[in-house]
Formats: sequence, structure tokens, C-alpha cells
Amino acid sequence: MKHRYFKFLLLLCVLSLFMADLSAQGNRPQFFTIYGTIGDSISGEPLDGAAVFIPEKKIGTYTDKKGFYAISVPPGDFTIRISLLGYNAKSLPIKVDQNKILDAVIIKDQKFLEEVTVTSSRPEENIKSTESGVSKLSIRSIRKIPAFMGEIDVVRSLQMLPGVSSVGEGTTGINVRGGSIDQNLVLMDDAPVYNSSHLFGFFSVFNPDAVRDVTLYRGGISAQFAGRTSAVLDVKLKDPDLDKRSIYGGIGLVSNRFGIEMPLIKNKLAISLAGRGSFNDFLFKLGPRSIENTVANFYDLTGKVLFKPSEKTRLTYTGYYSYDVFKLPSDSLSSVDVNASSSTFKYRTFNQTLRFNWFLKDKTSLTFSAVQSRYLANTAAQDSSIAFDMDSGIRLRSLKGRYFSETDKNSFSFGAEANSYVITPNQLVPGPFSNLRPITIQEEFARELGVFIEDEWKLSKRFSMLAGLRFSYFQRLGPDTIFTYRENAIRRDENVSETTLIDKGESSQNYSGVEPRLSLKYELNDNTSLKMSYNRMRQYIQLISNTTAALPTARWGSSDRNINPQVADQVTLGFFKNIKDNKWETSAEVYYKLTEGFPDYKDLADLQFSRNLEQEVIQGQGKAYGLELMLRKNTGFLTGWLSYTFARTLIKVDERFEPIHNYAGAWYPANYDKPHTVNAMMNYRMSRTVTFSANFTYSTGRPGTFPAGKFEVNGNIVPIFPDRNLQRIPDYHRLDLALIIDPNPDRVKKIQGSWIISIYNVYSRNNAYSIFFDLNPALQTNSYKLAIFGSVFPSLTYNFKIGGR
Amino acid sequence: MKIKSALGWGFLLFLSLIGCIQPYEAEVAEPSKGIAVLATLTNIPKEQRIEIRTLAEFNTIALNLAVRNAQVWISDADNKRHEFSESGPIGVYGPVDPNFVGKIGQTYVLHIKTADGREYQSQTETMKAVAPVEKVYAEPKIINQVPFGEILTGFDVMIDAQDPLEEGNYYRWTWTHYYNTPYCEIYYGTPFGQNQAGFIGIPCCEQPCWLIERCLQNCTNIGSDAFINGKKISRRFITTIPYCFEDYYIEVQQRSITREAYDFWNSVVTLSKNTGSMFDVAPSKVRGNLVCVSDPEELVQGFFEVSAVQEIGTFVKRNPGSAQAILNCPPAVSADPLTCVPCSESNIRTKAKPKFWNR
Repeated sequence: MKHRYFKFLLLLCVLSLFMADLSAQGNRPQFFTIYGTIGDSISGEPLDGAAVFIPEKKIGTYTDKKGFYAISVPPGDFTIRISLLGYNAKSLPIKVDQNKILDAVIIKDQKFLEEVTVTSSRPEENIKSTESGVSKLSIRSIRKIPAFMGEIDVVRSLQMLPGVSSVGEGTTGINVRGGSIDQNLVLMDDAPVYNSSHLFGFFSVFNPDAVRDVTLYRGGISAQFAGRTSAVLDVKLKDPDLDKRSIYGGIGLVSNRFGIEMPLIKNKLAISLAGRGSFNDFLFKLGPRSIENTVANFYDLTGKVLFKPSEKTRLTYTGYYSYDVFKLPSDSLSSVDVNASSSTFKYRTFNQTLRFNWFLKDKTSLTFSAVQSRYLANTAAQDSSIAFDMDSGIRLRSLKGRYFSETDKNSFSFGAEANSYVITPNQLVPGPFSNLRPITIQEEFARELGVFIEDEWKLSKRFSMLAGLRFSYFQRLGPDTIFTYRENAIRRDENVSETTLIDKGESSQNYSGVEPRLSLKYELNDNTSLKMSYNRMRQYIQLISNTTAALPTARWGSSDRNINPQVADQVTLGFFKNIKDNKWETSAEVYYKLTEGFPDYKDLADLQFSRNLEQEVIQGQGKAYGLELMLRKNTGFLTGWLSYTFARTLIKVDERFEPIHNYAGAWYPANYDKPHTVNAMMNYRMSRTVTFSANFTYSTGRPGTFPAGKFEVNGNIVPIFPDRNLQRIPDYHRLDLALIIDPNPDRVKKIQGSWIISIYNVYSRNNAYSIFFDLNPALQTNSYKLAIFGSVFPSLTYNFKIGGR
Repeated sequence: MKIKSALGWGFLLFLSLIGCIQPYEAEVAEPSKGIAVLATLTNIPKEQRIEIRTLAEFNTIALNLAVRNAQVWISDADNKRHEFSESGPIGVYGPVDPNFVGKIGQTYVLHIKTADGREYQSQTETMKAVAPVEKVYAEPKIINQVPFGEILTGFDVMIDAQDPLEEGNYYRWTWTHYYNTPYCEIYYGTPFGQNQAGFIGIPCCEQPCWLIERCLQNCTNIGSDAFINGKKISRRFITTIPYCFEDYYIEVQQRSITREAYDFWNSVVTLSKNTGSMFDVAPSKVRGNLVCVSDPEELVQGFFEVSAVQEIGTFVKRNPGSAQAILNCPPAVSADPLTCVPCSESNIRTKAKPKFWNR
């Protein structure tokens, strides 16, 4: 118990540093402090955000991330009431005659409601928090959203939030507030994920069994995050249980899952391992002959080790490996320059994070992490005379450190980050008897350094401010060949005026700049607040892709002397109001974002084998603005939300570049510009074990370019395209339903099984994936609509769990 | 090496498994106005051809109409004017001097003046030498079809050639198939004196007469030495031929083209395959080498291609080996004894023995 007093003293010490209220309290006759931790009754895991309230005195507080609380009361007999959404409230009598420790556990509320909580565990969080545009989804709530083919999907669920969209079903990545997919920083336990999709984009790489929660920052982005201009998707994995062993898994239409969690040294060391694999090749066997030999499979493994040598220190290791393979049969390749009989595409992610937390004193901690992220894509053909292996990839090694300290009025943090990148553009290695010439494109080496300082300052009861400043420094390193082009000339080989060679390790170009971040909140009353945020974000690496949906084999590229970093400024204004005792939440947010250095590509750019990307990339400005409205019901048997988003995304390329298509210096819509989106999500708790959920989504069709004319040469009918992205594909809407049957909490069984019955696209709408054009004389028309999920998709998933929480 | 398009295309196939395709009435922009020109000048006789057509709406019924009665000429570096006139099919212009050929190293400019007075001109193009084709051969095209096992559906005709050492060689390949039959025309009907309908062949008035077959659809076949510079071009696909007993006579033309012509053809191939899928590259213009001099705003599509040609011809043996084969021979024909068709020199018939016909 000794360390608890020590903890308490330290707490007092820190609190006194930030004076104000405490010193005032010091003058009061006699006050004692009740403090302790609140945990989950089964796992004992500390609970963040639990309300600790003394009704007699009408005073209360919330637990911090470690479940710790401290409350100051005069002597007397009181009741302490502990409550947290999703848990049964608990009241405990306490006699206060001295400083007291009160640790308590509360029980998960399984008999009543398991609310879908989107923003946070605290219902009034949306009013009280300083930042706007931050959404947190727990895996528990993600599980309640009807899933496509029964696959619970983190990224797909995010698309139900305002401001989040994609170019189409089954495409890689998400577009957040007018950003392209590579403008999102996707982190899995601190390690960036460079391709968050399995099977091109049908499913995301995050195994739902391993995920704890997902936070999407699209408005006020903390200064601790950097490197992308649009949004941060922070995926946190569950810590292994230090106490009990459990085995879990699931059987679904697409993939099967299996996982184990076990303590190795009780309350000190535990490990978890979760695997997932798809075995859906049989689907192709049912298809036409041309694709029956197609192979499309994926698997991923997520492992985590938690070592807790003491109450104050924590060491975690996260390892993640994912593998996708896609093999095409011969017929589908007959039109390729290399006339191979079959080609195989593979891509892999291998991420590792080692993280060390040191709780110096209460509410003060130091965190260090070492990260390695690797992404590799490979294309291969086997035929001997033209055999080849083509690899591309990116590797990041990163070190981060962060100091965090919280007092009543301030949450202060500072930190530093050092990143080292190695980008491998496409490298083609011919087979032993191949006639192909090897192609080696110089690897790109770069360093990125960042330091930040941030403080959340509660200036008064109503007004708070989160101010951060980050300084980032980017260095592109040799070996590198830099072309200098004649002034105002189009970037082509013939316009190169000077070639500079940079030696290994030498700096070839530096960029640096400050990134101010500011969020302000003013509460008009207890249920209403106004918020404002401003962010500047800088991005130095980007995905090089000019297709509507990015391919997993697309390469990455970094800024250099000719390609500038992207710099985005975003301003958000928000109005938040909760009604009927936080039962209903409403919010309205408007944003405006301007990005300099926004990339597009010249017409028919060769991105795969270009040695000088600046000859293919065209930079300009990106402009995004919109309005996001949200209405949410948090409590009751019926919960859910309704949101409407108006969003526009426009691009303008710099006039000094070669005009792309017909545009030079004019704004045109981005591929993912979808002005109107409506999302509705509801959960209805029918009984203690059965939940019914439904979601509906509507959005304007994405832009497209349809041919205005044709001509014929050499038997090829060539379409003539008008200006880019002026037409649109049809609007999209869809309704999904799910029935979730959980085990009865009263019956203690060794194996707890749950069933998820879901129906995707209930009214079988033929939503357009794309509109395409074909002049087949046998057909009456020349334009067609491809709907990939053009019918209703029922699915059944069984999940089980043995032991554990 | 359009791996990307293959991956996208393959994925589209995968999608079509679970997806469905329906006609859709797309709202299309104003139709484009202007002309499309396809002109070829080579160093071998009878291969000079200039076709001029209007642009058309993008649908199945709109036609690219022939542009007739235009003045067409090619000028060279010595300012010599080589006149062309409408000959053969409408909208197609051939040299007035049938022996006119281009010279390697010489530069040429194409000029067109339409009947309504609009003038067009190409950029200056240089004729570049081209390496010879070393070998033409055919590989059986076998598919594995459950439960029948391996089945031969035809043969892929391929060539090998040696790419010169210097970088930046671009190629375009075409082929011509000649065959010798007694019939110059075939139709379906009831033969004289019989009552069973069938194929009837009208004999050629002169013998021997060769019929000529060329590629009709999606014929653009181009390559660059970007991946193989100085090495052998091997297994370069030319065409697929059906399986029948007789040897198949084919001539393959290997043409040198410029970087600009390669880019043009490449965009033709990319865009004509660009059907609107998610993995299509963003739509773009096809940049040719012609402009309208009288109205620079007018859209001129097409290319004036100046290329040296190396031809090779051979009889391809069609040996099915041990595989089961699908026989695909010309239909049995009964002769029409009452009439004959003259074997007049044209795009589809010739009395002249093909160059490499050594039998």
C-alpha cells in the first residue's frame, strides 16, 4: 500500500504546482481526499472516464486513463456513486475521517444496454472535449454495425461517420474531408500501415479480434501526429489479459479467425496472438472459365506481448504480419506487353512496435516507442523467356518519445520523433532464362524529424484551449540524381539543363516548417459548446497512383528537389449541443481546407517505371470544404445516429505544368468529390441476448468522365473524352440489417458462442461501382453500369470464446 | 509492361463474378467535332495510305464518315511535293505515283486541304531504319478445360528479332495472311440444281488468285525496347490463328516508329481499353502530330506515321501434337458453275504471288 501513498503525495505535489484551485482549497477548514482506481469487475482493467460522484455534496470527478481518481471532501458519511456507460452503476458508503483509498470494480452491464458509443465513453464528451472532429469507435460498437459478408471491418465502419467516404465499395482506403487515401496516417499501435486493405479493399487489414478501439482525427489533430495532411486513424490493439487465459475465434463466409490470450507470469507477463485467413478460392471455381484458376487469398497475424514489471512501468511489443496473394489466369493477361501465361501479385505488411510506458507519478508519464513498418508489393510471371519478379515497397524506422503530465487545469505534453524511410520503387529482376532487361530504379532515402509541444489548458469552467506547435524537418538523402529543368519549360528529359549527382548519405534536399495546431472550446452552458480548430499539416511522402481506386502495387514516393511537400491548412468550426440529459447529442461542423502541393498526374503518366517522378507528377492546390451534421441517441433500448455531410473537393494544377487533360489553372472535382452523404445507424436491444441493427447510407455518385466522341484507327475504337470529372455515376444508397445473438450472461458456459446474421444491401440495389463504355455491335447501348454488390448478400458468422473476460 | 492494367482487368473479372452489368443511359457531353487522320508512309511500295474521317458520337450507330475530295500531299525536306488522290475505298487516299516510297533518313510533312477549305498539317517526321525479323513461328494455344482436359484452340503466331544496341527503338507490328483458293467469293444459298442450302463458292476468273486477310479489330501492336534494349525481342505475339490441316502463310511487318508515334499508339491502346473501371487511368487526350492550320481550335485526331518496314513471310505448320484440337477450317463449298469473279488487284485479292510464297 506504500506506493499508493507515495503516488498520492506525488499527485498532490504536481497539483500544487498548478496552484489555483488547490491553494484555495487549502484555506478550507478540513478536507480529506478519497482516491483510488476503478476497474472492470472481470478483467480488473482500469476504466477510463468512469464518473465518481458524491450525491450528498454534489461533487464528482472522472477517472483518468489508468482508472485513477481523487476527490476532496469534508469529513462525514457519504455515498460514492461510480458509473460508466455500459456498466452497472455502483454506490458505496464511505465514512470520511481521514484521507482514504477506495478501489472499486464495476460490472459490465450485460443485462441491459450495450450502447453504440461513437465519440467516447463519456456521454457529454462531445461538449466537454476541446478538440472537434474526433471520433472514437470501440470494437464493441463496431461489432454492432451490420457487416459485409459477416466480416467485421474497422475501416468500413468508419464510412458511417460524417466526413468519411471512399470512391466505391471494395476500394482501398478512405477519403477523409477531401483528402486522398494516402493523406491519412493509419497507425496500428503506433506503427504506420501503408495499405490498410485486404483483397484490393473489400476488407481492412485489422483483425477485429485484436482491435480495442479506433480513433479518427479529422478536425483537431494533436501535435503528436504528423506526416499526413488529412486525417489520423489511430487503431489501438487490445492488451493481452494478465490474469486469465482465453481462446476465441470465428467462422465466416470470407475468413476464419482464431486467437489466444494467456498470462505467462500472472499479473506480469502475458501474450496474445490472433490470426485470420481467407480460403475463398472456391468462389472463383464457380465463375466463368476465364477466372476459374484465379487465386485470391489473404491472411494476417497480430501478436502482442505485455510485460508489466511494476505498477509504474509497462513494456509492450506488437507484431503484425499480413499477406495477400492474387493470381490471374493466362487469358486475362493476353493484352499485356509481357505475354506471360500467368501473373501473381502479392503484397505484405510487416509492422513491429516496441513501446515502453513509465508512469513517473500520477498523471505524469513518459512513453518511448520504436517502430518498424514495412510494406512490400510483388508482381511475378513464371514463363522462362519472360520470367520476372518485380518488387516495390517502403520501410519506415521510427523512434518516438513523449512526456505527458496532467493537472486539473493543464494537460501538457512534449515529444520528439525521428523517422527514417527507404522507398523501393519498382525493381524488375528477370528470371534466369529471361530476355527481359533488369530495371533498377534508385531507392529513395529520407529522414524526417519532428518535435512538438502541446498544452490543453482549461482557462475557466467554460473555456478551454488546446494549443500545439510542431516543427518538422525533412531531408531527402543521396544517392540521388537531381534534374534541373529550364525555367518555365515542361519537365521532360529534353528540357533538363543540369544534372546533379548526390552521394550516398548526403542531403539532396531539405524541407522544414512549423505546424501550428489550435483548438478552442467555449461552453455556452452545460449542454452546449462552440469549438474552433486550426491545423497545419505537412506531408513528405505520398502514394503514386493515378487510377480512380489505388492498386496495392502502386509505389510510394518522397518529396525531393522537384516535388514539393504537401502543406494543408484546415479550419473547423463546430457547434455541439446535448439535449435531455445527454440522451441526444447534436453537432454541426463546418470545415475549409486548402492544400498546397496537392498532386495529380500528367495524362497517361508512366508511374510504374518512371525514374524521374517529377516528369509525371503535377502539383497544384487542393480545396475541400463542407458541413457535417450529426444527431445521435446514446441511451435507451434504441440507440443510433443520423448524419448528413455536404462536402466538396476540388483540385487545380499549376499553370506552369503541362495541362492535364484539358485543364490548366482551373478547378476540377477530385475523383472522390461526393457532395451529399446521409448515414443512419440504429441498434435496437430486443432482449438480453438479441440485438437488431440496421444502417442506411446514401451518397451522391462520384465524378466520372464519359466519352463525347470516337474515332477509329487500326481497328481500335478510341473514345474522345471531354473535360475531366464533369459527369457523375448514379447516386448510391443501401440498407443493411443484422441480428446479433449473444450468449445469455446468466448461464455460465465454458464456450460462449455468438451468432451474427447479417444482410447486406437488403433491397438489392444495383449501386454503380463504375459506369463503363463498350461499343459491342451486338448490344443496343454503349454505356453500362457495373454493380459489384448488385444483389442482397446474406451471411452468417459464428464467434466463440473460451475463458477470459 | 502494363501489369497495372492486367491487375485491374483481372480484378474487374473477379468483380464481375459477384457483380452484375446493366445498360445505363449516361449523360454525355456535346459531341466532338473535327477530323481523324491515319496516314502511313513507308519505304516499301503499296504501303502508303492516308485515311481521313470525321469524328462521331460515342455510340454504336454513329459512323466516322469519309472526308472526300480533299487535296492531300506529302512534302519532303527538299520541298518536293508527292500528290495523293482518293483511290479504292472512299476516304482513303493513295499516292498518284504508285511507286512512291519514303527513304530512310528523309523527313516528311503531310498536308491536307479539305473541300471546304480547311487546312491541316503534320509535324515533320523522320523515317528511321528498323531491324529485321529473325523468325516467325507458332505456339499451340492450349487451354485446360474440365472435364475434357487439354484442348488446342489455335496457334499463337510469334516473332523473334534482335533489338539494336542504341536505346529508344520503338516498333509496330502488322501481319497479312494470303491464301490460295479456287473461289474468289463465297455466299450462303441453294446451289444450282440442288435443293439443300449450303456455302457456294464463285470461282476466280483467273488462277492462281490469292485472297488477302488482315487484322480488323484492335490491331494496334506496339513495343519499345525499354525493357530489352540491345537484347532479343522474343515471343512477341503477332496474332492467333485457328487450327486446320494446311500450313498457314503469313507475312509479318516490323515497323520502326518514333517515340511520339509510340506514345500515340500507346494512348490509343490504353484509351480504347479504358472502359471506365476503377483501375483505369484518368481519361486524357490522345495527342497526335497533326493540327488544323486554318483553325487551331479544331480537334484533329490521328497520326502521320513515317516508318521503315522489314517484312518476313513463312508457312506456319499447324501441328496439334497430342492435345485434342478444335478444328476450325473454312467451310465446305460447292462451286457455282455459272459465273466467276475477276481476280482484280485490290486490298483483298491479288494475282501476284506473295513475296515469300516459295511453293
